[in-house]
Formats: sequence, structure tokens, C-alpha cells
Amino acid sequence: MKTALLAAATLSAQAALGLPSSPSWMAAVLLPVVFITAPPLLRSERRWPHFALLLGLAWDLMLEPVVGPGAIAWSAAAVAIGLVVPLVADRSPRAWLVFGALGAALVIVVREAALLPLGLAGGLSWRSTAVSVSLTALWCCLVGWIIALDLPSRWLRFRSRKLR
Amino acid sequence: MTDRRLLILRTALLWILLELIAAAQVRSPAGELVLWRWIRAAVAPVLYVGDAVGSFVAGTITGVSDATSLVVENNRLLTQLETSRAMNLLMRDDMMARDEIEALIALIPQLAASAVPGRTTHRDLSRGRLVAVVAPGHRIRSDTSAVATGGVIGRVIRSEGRRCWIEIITHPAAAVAVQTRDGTVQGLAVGSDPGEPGILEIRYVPRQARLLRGDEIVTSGADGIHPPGIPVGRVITVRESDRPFLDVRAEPAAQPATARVVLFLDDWTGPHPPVTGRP
Repeated sequence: MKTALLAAATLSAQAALGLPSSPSWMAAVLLPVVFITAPPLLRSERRWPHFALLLGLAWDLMLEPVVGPGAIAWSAAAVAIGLVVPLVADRSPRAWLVFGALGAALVIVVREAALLPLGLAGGLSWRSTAVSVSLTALWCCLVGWIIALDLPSRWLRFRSRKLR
Repeated sequence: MTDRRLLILRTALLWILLELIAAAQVRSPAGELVLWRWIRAAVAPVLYVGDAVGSFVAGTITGVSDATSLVVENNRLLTQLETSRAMNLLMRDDMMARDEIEALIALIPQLAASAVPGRTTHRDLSRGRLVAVVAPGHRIRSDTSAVATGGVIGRVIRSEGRRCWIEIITHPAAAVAVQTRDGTVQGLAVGSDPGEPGILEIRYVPRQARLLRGDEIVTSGADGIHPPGIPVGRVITVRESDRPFLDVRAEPAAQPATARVVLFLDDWTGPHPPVTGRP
């Protein structure tokens, strides 16, 4: 439930990033990528492809003209990252950065490939893809760094020191 | 199958389903659903193959049917051809029989009007028998003279319905009163013994008779069966013997082996009707 609420909030934020009043580069960030990179990196249970599928369907409903390609793209990225992450031992923010970039690239490419048979593919540009992948990777790295900081335990230690 | 592979398989199936769902929402520039185009594209080869298979099956069935019809037609034509050949043979036989009848009529012009023609249906030369069939309505009596191409062929020994049994003149028990064409020499032509089949023996020819090899022997009518003047045979040997008569052998004028028709002369009266046969 908490994850679903977080995902809804993330999608809302994603929609907000594309508002006309915001800078154009902000829409290039794929905020939900953290939901497909986090489960394997945090070694959570293995239903993440299904969650990614639902996330993709929600993405399609909110942001895409057609329901389906987004779900394919997000679940494909989740499956790929889930297969690759166990091969790497690193769980540092750098790993978040790399896998976030990989997830973003996969989402973009697979989505475009899924749109291609429908005649809706707009064509990928290296620049926009690179911007999107870079910003998304930075976003995932930020999330990974925050998780690595372990703020709740730090807060608990701070509170316990103050109480003494 | 491991859980991971199963998961990937399920996910891939979901992707296909999602792509189909997406295709059901998108229309082509022509206004047609993309999914419908995909279905048509997927079904078209199947339809094409089905159509091709259907055409092949239909063609095969038609071919087999045509072949069967051809076989039936061929068999019918073969039967018709065989029937035509048989009819042709019969007609040829009839034509030859007709020629024989004409020759016979020329042989006995005075008796032709009352003669009854008959077709030979069976011959047994070893036993000196000939079977002939006459037209319906005719009744041939026993001891009726039978004439074939060339001359006398025998006499009727039995008649039943349309069938007549003829005793050929070469039968050992047969006897025909004969004479030379000029009537100077008389005799009795009987069938030879089994050692000389197909040869006539002319008995009771006096030693002083002027008979030469090649002389024609005709019926004299003295037997009351055969009208006079009908050829019987031709002398082939004339020998003297220790008996008071010449030993004369003659070759029959009629050929029982090849006779197709015979004429039954059952309506001549008297032992000496005016017969002037052609030599």
C-alpha cells in the first residue's frame, strides 16, 4: 500500500514535471525508474515485474495516448535489471546511478519498439535519450544516496543522544 | 522450468497481450484498427494456404472424377469397339454367306425359288456331321438334299425346330447316285473309309466305262434324294481292280470345312426334274 501510494505520488510528480510552466528538460526525468531499480538493489521480494507492469499501465493511463506499450517497457526494464543486478555486488549510490541509467535506457528503447508496430513511434534522438538517461540516472543516484544515508537510524541515534 | 524462466515467459506473454491491447486502440491512417490489420495479416497466410489446399483438393477430386469418367468412357468405348468389331465380323460373315448363296443360286437356278437357305452353325467333319439353322417358319424334312458352294454336301438326317443335322457325303454311310455330266457313266458315290477322310468312292462303275481323271461327277437323281445335275465331285483316281468294277476316287465338289450356308432342296418332285446346273 505504501509502495502504491509512493508510486502514485511519483507519477503525479512526473506529470507535474511536464507542466508547461516547468523547464522542458525536467520532463525528461523518468522518476518511476527508481521503482524498478530499487527492488533488486534492496533485495526485496520478487514480484517486482508485476509491480512494474502495473506501474507501466498507470504510466500509460496518465501520460501515453495508448495503453500497453508503457507497461511493456517498464516490465521489460524491470525484468532486465532484475537479471543483471544479482551479477553485481555493489549496492552503493554508484550502482543506483548505473542501473538507473540502464533502466531509463531500456524503458525508452522498449517503449519506442513497442510503439513501432502501431505506427506511433516518434523516432529516438541521441540527445533526448542521453538527457533522459543522464537525468534519470542522477535521480536514481540521489535516491540511492538518501537510502544509503539511512536517515531513520541517524535520527534515532540523534534522538537518543539528545535524550541522554 | 525454473521460476525465473517461468516469470520471463509469463511476462513475455503479458507483453504480447499488452501490445495487442494497444493495437486495438490505434487506428491506421486509413481509419482501420491496427489490430484488425494484424489479424488480417496473420490470417491471410492461413487463408491463402487453406484456399490453396482447398483448390488442390478440389482439383484432385475433379481430376480423380474426370479420370474415373474417362476410365468409364474408355471402357464404354472399348465395349462399343469390340461390339462393332464383332458386328463387323458378323456382317462380313453375312456378306460372305450372301455371296455363297448367290453362287448356290447360280448353281441351281431352277430350284432356287423353292430352296430353303440355312446357316451352318456347327461342323464335325470327323464324324461327318453338319448342323445348320434355317429361318423361322421353315420345316426341313429328313432326307432332304443339302447343297453348299460347289455342289452337294449331304442330306438331312434329322430336323428339330430350326435346326437340321446333315450327313456329309463323305460320311462312310452316305451314298449319292451319281453320273458323269454327259450321263454315260453311272455310279454310287459313297463316303470313303476312315483311312481316307474327305474322299468319295465311286462304286459300280463298269470296267469299260470311259472315265478319266478330272471328269466331273454330278447327281443322277436316281436316289430320290438329290435332284439330278448337281455337282458332286471330280474324279481324282481311276484304277482297275480284280473286281468287275473300276476303283474310282473323287474329290467332293463342296467343302464342308468352309461352307457357311447350305440350300435345302426339299421341294423338288420326281426323280428327273429338268435341272441344268452350271458346270
